[in-house]
Amino acid sequence: MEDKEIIGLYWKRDEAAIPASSKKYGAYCQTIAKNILAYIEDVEECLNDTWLHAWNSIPPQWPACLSAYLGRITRNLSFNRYKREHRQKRGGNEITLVLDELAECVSGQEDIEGLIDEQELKKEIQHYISGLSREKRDQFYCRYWYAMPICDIASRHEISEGKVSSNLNRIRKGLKKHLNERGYWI
Amino acid sequence: MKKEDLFDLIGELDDEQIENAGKSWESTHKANMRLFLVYAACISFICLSMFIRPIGKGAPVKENTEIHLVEFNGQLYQIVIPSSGPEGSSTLYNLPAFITEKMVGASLGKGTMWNTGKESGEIFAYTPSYQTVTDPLIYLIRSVEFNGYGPYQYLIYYCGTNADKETAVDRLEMYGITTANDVERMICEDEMKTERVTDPTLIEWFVDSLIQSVPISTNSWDQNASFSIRIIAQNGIHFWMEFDVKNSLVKWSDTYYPMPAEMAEKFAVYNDKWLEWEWLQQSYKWNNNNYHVVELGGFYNDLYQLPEVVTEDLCGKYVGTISGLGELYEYLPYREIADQLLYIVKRSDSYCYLRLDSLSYNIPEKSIGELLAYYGINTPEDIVKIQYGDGYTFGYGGDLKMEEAEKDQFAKDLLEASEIGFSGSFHGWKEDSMLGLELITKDSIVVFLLYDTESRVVKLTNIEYQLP
Repeated sequence: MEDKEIIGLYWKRDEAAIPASSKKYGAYCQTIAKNILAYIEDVEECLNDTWLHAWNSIPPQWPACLSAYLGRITRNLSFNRYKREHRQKRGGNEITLVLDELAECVSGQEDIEGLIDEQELKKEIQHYISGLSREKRDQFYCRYWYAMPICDIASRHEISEGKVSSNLNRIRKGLKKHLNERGYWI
Repeated sequence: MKKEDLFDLIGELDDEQIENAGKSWESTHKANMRLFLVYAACISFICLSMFIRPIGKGAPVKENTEIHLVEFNGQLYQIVIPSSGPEGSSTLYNLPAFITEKMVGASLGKGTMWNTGKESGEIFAYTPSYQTVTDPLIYLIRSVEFNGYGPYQYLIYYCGTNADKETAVDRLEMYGITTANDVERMICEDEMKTERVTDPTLIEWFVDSLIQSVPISTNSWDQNASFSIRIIAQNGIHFWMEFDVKNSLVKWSDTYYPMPAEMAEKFAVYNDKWLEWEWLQQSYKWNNNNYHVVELGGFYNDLYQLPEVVTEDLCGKYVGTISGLGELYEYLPYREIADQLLYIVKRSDSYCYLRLDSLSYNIPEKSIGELLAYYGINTPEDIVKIQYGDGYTFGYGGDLKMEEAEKDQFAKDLLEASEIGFSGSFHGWKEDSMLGLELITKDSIVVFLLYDTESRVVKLTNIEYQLP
């Protein structure tokens, strides 16, 4: 079923929208959740919550890109759950490693005074990522958006895991330098 | 910021790129799982395509690249699909990327599709309180042809016969500007500076020049030499264009309008891009390097403690001739300082000092020890005094002096600083925490450096070092 037809079902408040979304994007969203969460029960719950959130937000939203829209909901729900579980010392999945890597780019301090304009910061990050080669940009999104394991990224790009790690390392350093040069000491 | 916050922020990045990564990811997985079948399918397709002739006239035209016009109330309007991204309607027309029910006003009837003569979809008023393009220039249309993009599309006043080459006068009119009086103010902005332009004479000159400009196609646009101009009309509409000082071009929604060459100079007080550009233009090529040349005298002579009168006696060996400048001689009492070279130039029979600042970015980077040794600083004791001024008063220190203990510690730290790397700009330097320092050596040589008191980074010549 085409995306516009699925969105149309949501707009018509037709419950068939949910199985249609699940059929088309269930595996995709499940993989995102699996990369972040350790337990399959949590993954399943997040998926169910994803369809519920989509049901509640479409309409009024008309997503320009349904896969990214649903993927983002899954990612946010999974990550929120991860943070909750993590506080209770239940282990995460690949996400623990991903977060440790991202820690290199940040100070680790909370922005208590609210000095950072997140919208502007987001634009700067977007600007930097857009300037990367297609291959590196894809590796960045795979790792830091989809929380994909290094071995999967290596296999996807048909390069060694070491090369992926080295690329990601350069991208992180580059991102930090890019932000610092523009006055963002996050 | 915490790592979790950064992960959250990355989660909000551009949909399209995420979708692309996701899509090819899915396809890669499938390909890996059923590689043989895919190869087999490819071979079959190639074989089949050799025997099957294409049906129809050619490749279908992409729907979203066509211009769809609607005639309504005797005017032509273009259907614009709401979308985000650099070429999307939200950017080009400063409109929201999603049309929600709240934006849809009263039904106004139907128009006529320009190309087919058929009745168009239902047209509605556009009601957001923050609307930037005024009624009746914009409506909403509910059109079945475009249903894949959402129930509503924008209907925007269409001017010109070629959307890529609209004359500026038509475009300005669309934003409610027919004369300079319709412009309330302009704002010049780039990453370093934001300045309001309120001078009515300059605004009038700009609007008149833009109106007279004929749009062109060009590949000369230089983004590095450009800054943004925001125009605020009297009716409250804001819109943006960019100006390239190097090529004197205005870029407005991907259409280029040549402007008179003097525009860069006229706007120089509002933006530094022209000054930067002009400065770079005054460079000379010598020994395979580009140098910016500063003629020294007066203030500089004091600064470098140079004899007031330059005589032949001070000239060392002849080092070469720079075309357009004259013969260069070494300055005997001085020494080479990293990427800044001090020479004496002979023009006819007169002599003057020249400082050559390298513009090359391939200067061999030196450790701070090597660099300071040029100035005769090998131990903290070789620095007898450190004086400083605030912010950008680089080179104008002298009002304040570091206390002895502070000076000794700073000198010690300086000699132990680790190299960060070459930096031709001041990106990341904050005016509030930046000091221009002058180190006075025991040989009375004045060494300039920039010091960020927060990050403890120093910049000596064009190389940044981190103090311990």
